[in-house]
Amino acid sequence: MSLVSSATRIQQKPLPAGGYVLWAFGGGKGGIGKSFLTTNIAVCVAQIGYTVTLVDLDLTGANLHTCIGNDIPKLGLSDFLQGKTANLKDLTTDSKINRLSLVGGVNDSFVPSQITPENKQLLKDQLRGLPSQFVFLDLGAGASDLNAEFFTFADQSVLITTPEPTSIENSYQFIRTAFHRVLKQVELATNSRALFNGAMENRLAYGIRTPQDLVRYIMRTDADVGARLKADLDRFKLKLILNQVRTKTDIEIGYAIKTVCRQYFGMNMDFMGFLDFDNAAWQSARKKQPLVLAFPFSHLSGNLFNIAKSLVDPRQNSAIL
Amino acid sequence: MGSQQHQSLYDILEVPRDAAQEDIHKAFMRAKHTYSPDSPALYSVFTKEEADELLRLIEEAYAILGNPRKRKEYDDGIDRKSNVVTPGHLSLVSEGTQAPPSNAKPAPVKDKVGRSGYSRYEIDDSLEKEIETKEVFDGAFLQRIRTYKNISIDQVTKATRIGRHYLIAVEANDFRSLPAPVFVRGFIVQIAKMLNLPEKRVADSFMKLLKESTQK
Repeated sequence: MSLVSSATRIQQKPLPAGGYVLWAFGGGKGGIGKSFLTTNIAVCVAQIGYTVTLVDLDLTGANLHTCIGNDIPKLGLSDFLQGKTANLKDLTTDSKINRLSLVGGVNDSFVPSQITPENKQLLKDQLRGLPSQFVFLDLGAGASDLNAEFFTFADQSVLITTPEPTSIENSYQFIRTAFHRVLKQVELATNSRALFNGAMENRLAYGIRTPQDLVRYIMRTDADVGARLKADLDRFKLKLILNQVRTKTDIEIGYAIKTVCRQYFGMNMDFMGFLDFDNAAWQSARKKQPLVLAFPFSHLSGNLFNIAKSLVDPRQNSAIL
Repeated sequence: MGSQQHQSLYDILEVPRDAAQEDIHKAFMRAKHTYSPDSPALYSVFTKEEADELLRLIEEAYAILGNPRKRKEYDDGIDRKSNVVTPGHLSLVSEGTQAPPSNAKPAPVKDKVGRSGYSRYEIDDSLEKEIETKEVFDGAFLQRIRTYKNISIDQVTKATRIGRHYLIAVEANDFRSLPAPVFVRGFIVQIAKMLNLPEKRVADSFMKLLKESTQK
């Protein structure tokens, strides 16, 4: 029985052509504002007129229901991943916010290593089958394999970071994990393990210092594998949001990370925008309300809406703010 | 890092082929900031040496793309060949810095050590005399003095904030690549100060050469 009321389906805008459906929000460090941003951007997108389902994939502890002021879900992803239910629609609950629904996360001592490949595949298929126009995955903190898997699986991958060196360091670690995941997929698909292993073992001799060097080496050495690798990396739509900005010079860090990402990883990254550190953030969290609803006229609300708009319509490619 | 050099200059600055000059300048300023020594974005990925190397590439790219005339030459070159320009092309720009000092002849028994505020060097009396009586200070002579005094282009850039590409242009007497005369005069004064030369005499002489060259 679907708990998503049909009322949420009314008055939904048609998707913009080329718009993306499944987004993942991740980041290397805890406390940088992933859940905050996932929730608020989801609310913005819902208010613009699209149906959105939030999915809480943080295996260290579910929080999304708290962010939107829902009760603690009776059924969550832990039930799904343990095989107690095979249908994500059973886990979807409404929220007080029009067009926004939630798939609750794990809330007991559920150990991630228990997730089988079959369950993961089932989850992926089910995510694609959800009825909403947009599905937002909130990943947990850290560069785990699971996070990398779902981060690269999504149509659009949003990386959240703050200007602190610790956060930046963890962000690069996160990208590294995602990059390796793409590499591994290509290696498996093209059966070219020897090629990749050989490259890594002799990397000093081949002048391979950065991930981009590795990509270039592969492209030079084996045209087919190289083409596949390049195509898969290009298909990976990486976006960056810089959160908790304190000073004007912090803003440049977003552009700098984008440049470094290209030079070091050879991956394109869009810098979507920055958000100032704002007390309204923790104040709305205490109220268990999204900021854009608790403080709709705040500076941050405007910024969040702008980011949501340009994420929704890829044709609006301007970096905002 | 050798693979960095297979990119086109536009790739290095991350601008499209048809970018406006202003956008190229903005991209250059942004890239300089990204690879500056205390940039947070470098933390845990690039070492200082690698960042310096990238910065050098970026400055060399801007030396060409930031100059409309050189940019056009470069564009024509790309259209004729493939999209990739090898580093050999770029090194023409910095040839000046790699030339050995022309006064590297061993000085006769000298214990006198000169100090410039940035370096130490062995005093060459004949050159010092030449400097004193010199009337015409062109870029080549300035370079000679600079290398004599063991001051590198990097030191000059750091101390004076004059872009590397402009310093190289000054020393190469590449007047057309220099900005408006009012700026150039300022550059020469600063360079002369650094080299302990009489500022007015040097600046007047160089600016005269510049003016003459534009009148040809």
